[in-house]
Amino acid sequence: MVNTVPNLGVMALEDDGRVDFARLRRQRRQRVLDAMAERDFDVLILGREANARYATGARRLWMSGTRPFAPGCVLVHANGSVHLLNNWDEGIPTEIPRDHLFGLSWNPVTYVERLKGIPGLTSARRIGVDAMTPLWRQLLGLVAPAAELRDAQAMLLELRMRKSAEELRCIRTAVAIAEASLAAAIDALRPGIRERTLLGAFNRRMTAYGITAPSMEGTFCAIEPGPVGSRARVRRLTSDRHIDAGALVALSGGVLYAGYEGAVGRTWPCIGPGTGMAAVRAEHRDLRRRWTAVWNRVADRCRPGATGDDLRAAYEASGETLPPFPIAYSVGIGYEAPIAGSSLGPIFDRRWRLEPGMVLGVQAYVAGSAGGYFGLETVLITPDGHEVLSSLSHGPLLEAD
Amino acid sequence: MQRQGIDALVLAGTGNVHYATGATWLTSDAGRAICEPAIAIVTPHGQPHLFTPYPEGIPADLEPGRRHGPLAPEFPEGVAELAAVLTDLLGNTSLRVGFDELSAAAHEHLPRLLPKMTIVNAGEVLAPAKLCKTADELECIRRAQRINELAMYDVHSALRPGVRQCDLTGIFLDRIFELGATGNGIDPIWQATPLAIADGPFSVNGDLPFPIPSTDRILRQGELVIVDSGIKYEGYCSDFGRTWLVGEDVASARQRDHFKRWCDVMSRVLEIVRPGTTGLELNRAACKGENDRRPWLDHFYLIHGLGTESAEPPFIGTDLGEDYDESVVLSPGMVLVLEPVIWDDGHGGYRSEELVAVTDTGYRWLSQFPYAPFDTDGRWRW
Repeated sequence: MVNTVPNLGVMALEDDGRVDFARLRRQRRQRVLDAMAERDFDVLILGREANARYATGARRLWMSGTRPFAPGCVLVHANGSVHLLNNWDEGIPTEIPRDHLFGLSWNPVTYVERLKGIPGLTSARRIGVDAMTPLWRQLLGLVAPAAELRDAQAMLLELRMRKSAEELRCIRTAVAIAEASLAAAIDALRPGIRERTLLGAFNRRMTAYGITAPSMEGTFCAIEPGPVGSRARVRRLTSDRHIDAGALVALSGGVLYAGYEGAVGRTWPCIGPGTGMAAVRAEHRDLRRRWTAVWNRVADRCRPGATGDDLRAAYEASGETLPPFPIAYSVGIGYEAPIAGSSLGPIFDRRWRLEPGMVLGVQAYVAGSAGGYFGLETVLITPDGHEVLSSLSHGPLLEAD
Repeated sequence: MQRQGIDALVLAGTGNVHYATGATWLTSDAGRAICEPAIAIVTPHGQPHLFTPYPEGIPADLEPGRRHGPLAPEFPEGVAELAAVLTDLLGNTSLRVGFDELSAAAHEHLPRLLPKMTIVNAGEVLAPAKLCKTADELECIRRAQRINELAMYDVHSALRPGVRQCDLTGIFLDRIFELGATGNGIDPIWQATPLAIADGPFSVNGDLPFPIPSTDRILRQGELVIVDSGIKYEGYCSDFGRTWLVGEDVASARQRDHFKRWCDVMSRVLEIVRPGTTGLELNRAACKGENDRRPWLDHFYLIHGLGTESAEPPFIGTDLGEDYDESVVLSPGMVLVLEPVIWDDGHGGYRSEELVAVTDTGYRWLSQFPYAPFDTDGRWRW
C-alpha cells in the first residue's frame, strides 16, 4: 500500500520510474498461476481483453465494445509459460519469449494446429476459459480431447479485485488524468454549447497526457427538469443537444493508464465562465446537499467486511431511489464487475465482501423536478476504512453553500 | 433463421446487437461492455427483444413489450435469469438457439439449465444476413466515412516534426465527436514505419508488423506514417487508411513510384468489381505482375467487408486460401474495403484503404480523401 502522497505523472524519471511495471507484471502472473494451482486448472485459455492483459502485460490495440472470444492467450501451469496469438513483439513484455508468439490467422484449422503445438495443452485435463463461442466449443474439443472446459472468469475476477501497490499507483494516475480531462470539459461548458463538444474537450485533454483511449466515452448530458413533483431522469448517452443556460449537466468520464481505469463524475450548472454565484439556483444547491447525504451514507460503509448489499442498504436508507445503474463497481483493468445496485439484485450484491486493496467506482444520483445531481468517486478500501482517490471539486453548487 | 432451421438468436456482440435492434449504448472498453451489456433475443415473430441498461438508447419504434431491463450473463446469477427469460419467450421445448458468444458462466451453466436447448453458431445466420447492405445501411457507412475523413483533414494539417501520436489522436477524437460520430471504434494508428522490416519489431510472420498501437511517440522529420482509424455512426463503421510523411511536402521519386504501383493494383482490382466477380479473380488481379509478394499484408487481407463490424465478410486474400476466395461472389450491396500494400524493403512502401459499394453494374465510391504528399499534383483521379 502506498502511504505517502505519490508524485503522479506519466513521464519516466531517472530516479523513479513511478510504477515498477516489471514487478507489476511478475506479481499479476504469479497470482494467476497460484490461483490455477488452487483451482486445479492445468491450462487457462483467455479471450477477454482484461484477463489477457492482467496475466501477460501485453499492450494491444484498443477497440471499443466486445471482442468475440478467440483463444488469444494460453497459460500452462506445469511450466508457467504464456503463449500469445500476436504477430509481433512490440507491446509484448520481454519475459514472453518470441517462440511463444503466434501469427494472426483467419483460418480455424491453422489456429487449432498452432494450439496443438503448445506443450501441455493437448494433454490437459481441466482447462479454464473466460468466455466461449459455439464454434470454439467444438474446436477446443479437437485441441484437448480429454479436457473439461470450465468457467475461470469468477476466479480471475476475484484475484483482479485485490490491487497491489503498483496497480494502485496506476489507478491513482488514471484518476488524476480523468479529473484533468473532466476539468477541460467543465472549462468548455457555457450556455448554448452542444453536449458532444464537451465529450471532445474531455478526449482532447486526455491525449495531452499521452493517453489515446478512454475507458468509456463518458456522459456529458444536460438533465432536463420536469413538472412539479416529478423526478428528472439522467441520460448517460451524450447527444447533439445544445445546453441551455441554467441547466444542470451530468459530466462523467474515464481514462486508461497502463490499462487501469480512473473515472470521476460531477454535475455542474451551465452558468458560463465568470458568472457569479448568484446564478446558482437554490433548488440545485439542495440537490447537491441530498447527493452529499447519500454519498456520506454509502462511503461510511466502504470498509473491509461490508458487502455490496450493505452499500445498497445504506443508499436506500438515505431515502433516495436507486438509480438505473450500479451504485458501486470494481475498478481495475477497466470495469471489473458490478458490486452493488445492479439489476442482479441484493442476493448478487451479497456475494461481494469488501477487502483492503479493492477499488470501487461509487456513483449516486438524486433528482427532483428542478433537475438532478450525479456524482462518481473512485474509492480505495483501506485496512480501516477507505480513501477517496478522486479529488475534483464539486464546483459552484458546493461553493455556494 | 428459417433457412438454417434456427429457432431463436441470443446476441451479445455489440455489432450484432446493433444490427438486430438499432439500439445505442455507452461506447466503452470491453470490460464495461460485458458488465453492462445490451443483449438482443431474436425470435421468428415480430420485433426483437432488447435487454439494455440504457433506456435512452432504445429505438423509438421498438414496441413496449420488447423493451426490457438489462441482463448480466457474465455472472452465474445472470445466466439463471437468461435461462428463465429464454424459457419464458420460447417455451421449454427442444430448440436450436444461435449464440454469437457465450460468457464462461453461460458456457458452463446454460446446457444444464436448458437441457433441451441446442446451442448453435449465430454466425450462420448473421454472416449471410449482414453481407449485402440496404440503401440506408450504405448511407450510414458513407456518413461515418465522411466524418472520419473530415476529421483527418485537421489531423493531417497538424502533422509536423515533433508532434506526438497522442496529439494527433486528440485532434481526431475532438473533431469526430464535434462532427457527429456516435462512437470511436479503434484507437487511431499513426504508425511510424521503419523502411526495412528487419529494423522494426520482430514479427512471427516475417511481414511488416502492423498495426502498432499509438503512444506518446514523437514523430520525426521524414518518417513514413501509416494511418488507420475507424469510427461509428449509428452503429456503422468507417475505415480510413492513408500513408503520410512527416514534414515533407513532396514524396521522393521512389516513394511516388510506390504510390503509383499501389494505384495500379487498385485499378486492376476495381476494373473487375461488379456482381458475379469472385474473390479469387480479385486476388489474381491484384497479384498480376507483382512477382515478389502479394500486394497486401500477409497476416490480413486484400479486401474485407464493413458494416456494424469494422471488418466482416467478405474476406478476400486471407490465409483461408484460394478455395475460400473462389467461394466469395460479389453481389450488389456488398461493401468492400480495399487495402493493398506495396512494400519495397529497405525503402518503405505505401498503404491506403478505399471503400466501395458493389452496385448492379459495378461499384460506387464511399471514400474520398487526397493522397498528399504522394500524388505530385494533388489531383489524383480514378
